[in-house]
Amino acid sequence: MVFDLILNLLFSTLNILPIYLIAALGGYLSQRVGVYDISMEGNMTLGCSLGMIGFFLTHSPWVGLLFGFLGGLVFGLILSSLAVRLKVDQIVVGFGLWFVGLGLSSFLYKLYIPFDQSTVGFKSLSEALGYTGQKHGLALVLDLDVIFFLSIALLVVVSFFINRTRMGYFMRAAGENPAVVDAAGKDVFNIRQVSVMLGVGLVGVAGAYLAVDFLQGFTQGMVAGRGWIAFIIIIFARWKPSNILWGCLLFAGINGLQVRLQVIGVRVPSEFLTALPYIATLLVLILIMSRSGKSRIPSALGQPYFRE
Amino acid sequence: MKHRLLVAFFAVMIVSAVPLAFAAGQKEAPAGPAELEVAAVLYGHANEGTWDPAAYRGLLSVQQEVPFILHLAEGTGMQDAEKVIRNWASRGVDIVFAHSLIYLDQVITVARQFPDVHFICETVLDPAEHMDEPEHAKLAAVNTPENLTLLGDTPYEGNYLAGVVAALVSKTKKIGILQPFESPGLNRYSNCFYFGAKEAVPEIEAKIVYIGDYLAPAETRDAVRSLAQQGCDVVFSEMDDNSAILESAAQGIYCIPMYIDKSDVDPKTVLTSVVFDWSKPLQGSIEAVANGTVSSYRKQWYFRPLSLTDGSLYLGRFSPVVSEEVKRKVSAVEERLRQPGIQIELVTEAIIK
Repeated sequence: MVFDLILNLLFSTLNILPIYLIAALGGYLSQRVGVYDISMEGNMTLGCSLGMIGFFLTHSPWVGLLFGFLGGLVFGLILSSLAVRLKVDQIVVGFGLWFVGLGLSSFLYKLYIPFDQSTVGFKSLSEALGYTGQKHGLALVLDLDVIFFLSIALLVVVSFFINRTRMGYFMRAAGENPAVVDAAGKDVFNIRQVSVMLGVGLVGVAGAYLAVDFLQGFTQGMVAGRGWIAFIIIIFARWKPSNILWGCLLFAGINGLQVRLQVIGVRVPSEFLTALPYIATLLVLILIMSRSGKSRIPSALGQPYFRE
Repeated sequence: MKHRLLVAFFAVMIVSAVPLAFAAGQKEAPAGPAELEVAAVLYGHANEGTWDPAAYRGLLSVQQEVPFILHLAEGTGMQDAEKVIRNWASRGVDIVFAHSLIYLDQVITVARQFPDVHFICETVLDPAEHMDEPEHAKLAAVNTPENLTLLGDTPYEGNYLAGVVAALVSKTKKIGILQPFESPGLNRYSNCFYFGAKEAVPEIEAKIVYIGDYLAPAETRDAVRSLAQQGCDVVFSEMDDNSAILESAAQGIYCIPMYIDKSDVDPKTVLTSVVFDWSKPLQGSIEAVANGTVSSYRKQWYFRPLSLTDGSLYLGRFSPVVSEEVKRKVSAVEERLRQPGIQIELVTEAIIK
């Protein structure tokens, strides 16, 4: 029974992982080049709305994700233009875009979507194979959908690109010491802008996936703090892509644990169980940051670059 | 130069957003003469979730009988509620309908300041029947302004019937309940469902999960998955979205949602729904304002609950898996509940572990 519970928890964690992983990788791409993306929560919410609109227009969940990405690209263009080109305070811009994203999401949804629209999400492996009903043990892997596998592939690609390619080196340098990038003849502003746009685009994809697949609908507030959790995961991961996966697994896992503890009848106040994922995240964050004397934060994070 | 172009671009974007916002107005007016103006204050949005759409549908239904112009104040959090309610009252609308009991204190405060505007809000129990409890006694008709009427967020009979359906359909004799969080009001919802299930099948077992919010699709789906893995084959959902239905379908079990009829989401998976038809209680108050008979209406219907008796509460379309025998048994229980004097026990504590 304990083994069953652990397996159930594992696959439940993997089921929800793509939402956190894609959003965290998107935030990572921005922060890696030195730009905070405080608007992740608003951008994810906008992605939810745009994902639904994309599906409604074409009845394709893939197009829903594309709409989320494109909306994120536009947001990323605004964020990077203001923060990178015009050197507006990144925190202020991020908060502003957060509120814009929240407001715009409901506004656009109401404009395009008739009352009470729902979608058809991505097929799980079991649905693709024509098998429905309850599954147990390792058969639970059949509950995972294609987006899970793509999100893992995305992690591998981002990690490889950032750590093993020449452009990845310049991206890291843009976040650590932009003057070096300039001296090497590369345009810091372009690197930062493109990276931020792609990063914010990915955050939009995460929101679109949440709406098109998980809820198969849209409601304001459905992101429920996941944008902020993804932001914290980047810090928890100390700006390393491989650690982002562990951070996502930890948070998603604790989230699933609190549900399961209730189901098996653990006599703990439900309010504590609901707060458990957030408490755990804070504790781990404190532990990680206190263990190493040297901070891994990109040196130029949050600082605009002034070309001399 | 590039710098100036960027600044100019953002300035144009911001300025052009203003007329766009006005263009997407929120007035909904029926065809024909309409004299009344009604402002509905919603916590969420009229076309999102289930709780607010239930009220919106009710208002649109009333609009067909009693023409009025409908204004929507959506996304109104508690911290802004008094300001929003006062704003609409000062604009000269005839009726302000605040769709949630969390607005009640603010509504009462503003109602005292705007005696020419009628206010409608909700509460969970008939104040007249709970005068020994201060929190309900203060809401009695004698203690509130004359321009206030209350609707009852009272789905207890419906939830009871839903419990009967769930227990009779369940093959494993294990049913699950998804409750947003622990609160006296929501505990009453769940307990009524549980009592109905127990009446139908005394050996039924119930498990409850507190999700933490009205809207948490990932957690809701995870909870349904977990309940299914523990053997529950029917889940009663008090959540404000469809995620419980979707996961129930994926797990091959059944679901009973609340607030609106959700059988169209998955006709087989949704055994039935506990439907709140707000049009009936709302129409009474709105008609009274239109006819200038609020005083007399208020004497009889100061508190107007959702009820099986007047059809404002009912079970939605049944799934094909619900047999005729089950429907007959449910009808018999419903008939009994409609009898005057029959009341379901309302327990505020969380009794399901």
